[in-house]
Amino acid sequence: MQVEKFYYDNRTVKNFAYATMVWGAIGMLAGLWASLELVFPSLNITQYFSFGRLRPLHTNAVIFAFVGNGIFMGVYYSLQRLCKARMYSDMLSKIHFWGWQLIIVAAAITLPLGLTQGAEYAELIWPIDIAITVIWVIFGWNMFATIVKRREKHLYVAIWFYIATFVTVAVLHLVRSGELPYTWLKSYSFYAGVQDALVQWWYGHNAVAFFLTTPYLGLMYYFLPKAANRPVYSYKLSIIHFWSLIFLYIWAGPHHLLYTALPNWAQSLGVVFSLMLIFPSWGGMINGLLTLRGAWDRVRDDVILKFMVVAVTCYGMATFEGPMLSLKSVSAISHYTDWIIAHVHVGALGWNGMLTFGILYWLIPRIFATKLYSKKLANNHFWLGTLGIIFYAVPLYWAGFTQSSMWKQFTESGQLKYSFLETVTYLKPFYAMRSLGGTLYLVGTLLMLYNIYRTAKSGKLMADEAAEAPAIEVEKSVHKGEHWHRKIERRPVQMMILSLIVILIGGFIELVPTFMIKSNVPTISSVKPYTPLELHGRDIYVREGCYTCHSQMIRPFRSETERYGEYSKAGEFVYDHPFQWGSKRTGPDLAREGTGNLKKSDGWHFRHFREPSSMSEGSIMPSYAFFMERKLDTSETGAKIRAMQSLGVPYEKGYDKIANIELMKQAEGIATNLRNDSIRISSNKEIIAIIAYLQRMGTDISK
Amino acid sequence: MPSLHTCKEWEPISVNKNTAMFKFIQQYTEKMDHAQVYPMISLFIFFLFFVVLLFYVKKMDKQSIDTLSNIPLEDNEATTTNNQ
Repeated sequence: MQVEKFYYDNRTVKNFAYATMVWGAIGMLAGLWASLELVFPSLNITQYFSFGRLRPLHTNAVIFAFVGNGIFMGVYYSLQRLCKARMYSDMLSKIHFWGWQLIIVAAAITLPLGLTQGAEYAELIWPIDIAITVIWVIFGWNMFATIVKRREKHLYVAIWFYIATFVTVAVLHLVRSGELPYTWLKSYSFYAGVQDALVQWWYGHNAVAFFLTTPYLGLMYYFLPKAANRPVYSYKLSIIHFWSLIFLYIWAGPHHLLYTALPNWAQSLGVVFSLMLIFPSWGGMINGLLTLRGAWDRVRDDVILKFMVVAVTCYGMATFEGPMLSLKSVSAISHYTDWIIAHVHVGALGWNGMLTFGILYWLIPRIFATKLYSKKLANNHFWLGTLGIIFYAVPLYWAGFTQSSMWKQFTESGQLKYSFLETVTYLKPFYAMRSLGGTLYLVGTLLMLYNIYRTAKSGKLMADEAAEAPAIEVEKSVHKGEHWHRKIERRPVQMMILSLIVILIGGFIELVPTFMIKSNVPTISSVKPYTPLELHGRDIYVREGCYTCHSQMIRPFRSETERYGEYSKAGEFVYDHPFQWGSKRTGPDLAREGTGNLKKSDGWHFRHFREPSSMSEGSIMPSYAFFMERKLDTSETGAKIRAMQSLGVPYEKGYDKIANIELMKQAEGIATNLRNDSIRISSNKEIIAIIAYLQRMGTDISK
Repeated sequence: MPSLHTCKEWEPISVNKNTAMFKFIQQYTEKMDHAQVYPMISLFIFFLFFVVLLFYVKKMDKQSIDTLSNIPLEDNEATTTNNQ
């Protein structure tokens, strides 16, 4: 057979490697800054870097910029070698790289400006969503075309993970991005309330599954055997791992919505499948760790293996904890608390971070044909990273338990023992310790940047690395009696279709009934659409990322109904595009802010927004004094109303024309109230709209 | 105060009313009942899928497994420099 000579493209790999390092450091810095804002609220410098806008910047930067570029770095390196072929097109690689970086830059500009869709990890506005779709297709095209022209008959298991990642992320992104634009930067989610919540967490959980997990498992199956210089422990186990994992993961989303207004059957579905997930996840972890069988002595000296062992161990810890957190009784304690933040960071810092670092230390010297500049620095990085994870996670686990038990504690006479504010101020030292952990981790990352920079400088990039392999004719016909799986293994398209079917089964059975069956969302006749002013207020709420600290979902526990009022019902959210239930209570729940014991005067809200600690001593909420400066943009009112009408919100025909008249009437009312409270403010400021929204919240069912 | 759980005549809430196809499907699906059966169906599908998967994996021959698991190591260190 004729041996063909070809060249691997290392330039694209290098570009993605640099991008993952630089964006990683920026994303971590944003996270560190956000964490310090919780300790020192004065760090909420300007509206652009207030916690509500910075936190989405942090999560998006870490997920899509740090891990995203990490995925592409690893895929572009390993796919070429596993296929024994250069990437299909240098042009597509280039468009992919620069397109992805532009998307990140666009995100870094729009999020601080408050341009957001208000859905966690899907905050980016619709034009960026379209750009993501285009670039993702280019990535898939480049990947599949490379697989098709490969010189290796079989598709190694890592490639299956890449294929499943590609197809599932595409489906998730398309469904979650269902939105109706009403200006060229703004849009409303197609879905409302409970349905939006289910779509969100079906998406959100699977962003963890198919962006942070499956591609990294693919990388683990390639780079761990490479670094250990021995094949994966059990290839059979990897097959079972792959199919069970992608089948089960897609169902688990509802575990983010336990005890909420989501129909009970969907909650149970999420619990059962989340519990089952422990088996494939641990199958994968064991497969990774046992790959080191007989090489454990090398872990002591080899810093790359150290990084990888910690990564796989953290994967094991996070995927044990995940199913446990999905039990309803555990979720009752953990949900809305810092426990969840600790949990995700064991995954992000441990699994994604440490594996990325291990791969970088392995890969950069190879593509630069040199040695690592300093093993000692890498070792220091390893210890800073590992200690950073511990210093990050332990205080937050502690904080989570504390917070939850303080929320739930009653006095002997049956009163809630702690005000919400007391629970917040109590946690400040834990937040400070967490920031210390984050700092250690970031310093480690900066050491790596220096180490890699010196390494690259000491060598020269082998932009086109020569390789040889015999050409193969990929057999199209099926041998009699051949194993079915081996047939699929050779055919990437069939593999993709089968993966698609496997994930669609879960998606359909979970989502379709929630959208279709009327008994799932019982309507409440007193629930009416928002007034134009309240709608504007709500959009400001979304813009400021209030959902990053406040929930709008009261669970049916006595400790919650005592604190916040009647538990939330599915029918209350039917006009909420997007839903704003939130996932964390750094501040109190706001679902019934405008009613019952929680109701405050307009003047209270005004003063609270101007300086939160003046009304609630020790509050860590940022000041929103700029609401008093910024004029409410009423030019979009008509477009907002028309968009809502298209989404099925029953405003009367022609209401868009008179909406601003009603808006001004309501605004005047609030301005008068404030005047009576000795506050002079013009009725056309944003503060008026946000007060209107807060005063509306939860009032429908008490009418 | 109205009862919280009274189901009024169903109106599509989150979907454009002009989508005729959607309404066509919906007139059937909204009558679906017993959503509880869905988790059972899904568990059954997975169980079947998993058993078939186990069966076939068990049947795979050792030779091809060895070949497959060695794919990443085939090019080992021919063109690269170890940094250790």
